[in-house]
Amino acid sequence: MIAAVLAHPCPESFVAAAFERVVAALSGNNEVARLDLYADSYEPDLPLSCVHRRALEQSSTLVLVYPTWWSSQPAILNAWLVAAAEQDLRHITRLVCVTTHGGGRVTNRVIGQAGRVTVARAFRARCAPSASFEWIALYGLDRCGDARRQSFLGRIDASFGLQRR
Amino acid sequence: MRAAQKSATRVLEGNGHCVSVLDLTGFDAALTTGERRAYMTAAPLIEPVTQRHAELVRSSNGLIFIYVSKMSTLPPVMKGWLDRILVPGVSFVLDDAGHVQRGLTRLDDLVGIAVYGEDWRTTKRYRDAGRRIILRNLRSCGRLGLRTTWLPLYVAHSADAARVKKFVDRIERRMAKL
Repeated sequence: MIAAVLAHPCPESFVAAAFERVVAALSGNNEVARLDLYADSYEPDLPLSCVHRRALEQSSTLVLVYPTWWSSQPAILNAWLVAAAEQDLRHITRLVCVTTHGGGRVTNRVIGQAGRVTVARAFRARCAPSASFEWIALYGLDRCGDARRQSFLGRIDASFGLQRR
Repeated sequence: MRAAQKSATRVLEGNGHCVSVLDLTGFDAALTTGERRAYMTAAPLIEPVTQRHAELVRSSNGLIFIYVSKMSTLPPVMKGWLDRILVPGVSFVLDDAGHVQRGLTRLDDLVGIAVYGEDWRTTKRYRDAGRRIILRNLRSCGRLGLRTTWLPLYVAHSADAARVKKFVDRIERRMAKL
């Protein structure tokens, strides 16, 4: 099973569309657990719900889909990751971030990519020692046209299509 | 943590600063659907509490973040505070071309007081995302001469009274210079 997490408050957002694309790309040969933090009314500081906990227990891949705000995850996802880290995560072998940035790639390098290091370093340290980390990011969303958005969605297909088993 | 905040406040008030303590206990961390939809409009602050906090940020010359590091980053409630309070018109301004302009230009000092469970080496290996958010991302919203200060306490759970006292003394010395 694969757990796909969405952290965006608006169903009409581009990030929500990217999440649907992730789920569609994965659904071919996998069972996908959709964990939509806003739709599931996840409350920061509370433990994970039974459904989320069970999905996490049974998944070897965790996909996080979120907008990057203040170079990091939205607070609701920060809270979810902290709660998830209370579980044993050593069966998770693949971590993927699918995220959008308002600013450009260079700007985000300069201001520290805090969200990336949180997942790639601190969170991954709690997963399997061999866990892989993938970063599928769109930069400059504020000013990018439809072509770049489509190519980003295409990259999602490519990344998860290869994984189909 | 409370002790750190209290001693910092005492020193700052002793030096004639007006200090507003924003205790985030009970603050809702998650940006709401309504707030997201209002984000790019002329009035992105739609709650009395976020309006009040934003007004304090706008009128302050210094910002001090006091927190316990969670998974090497800001605690979710503090990250949520950034998401909900530091919206366009507060910490940055989007100009007509869509470029981000600095918004915290009144700020002279940006300070982080952070308590870590991990030691220094592990914190650095995890890349200390909380410090990066404040000293890099937030820093980029301030003017060029903005002073930054970082006051960490590592392996906090095993800190004895002497180490805590040293930490608090260090906070007081730095606060006296603001």
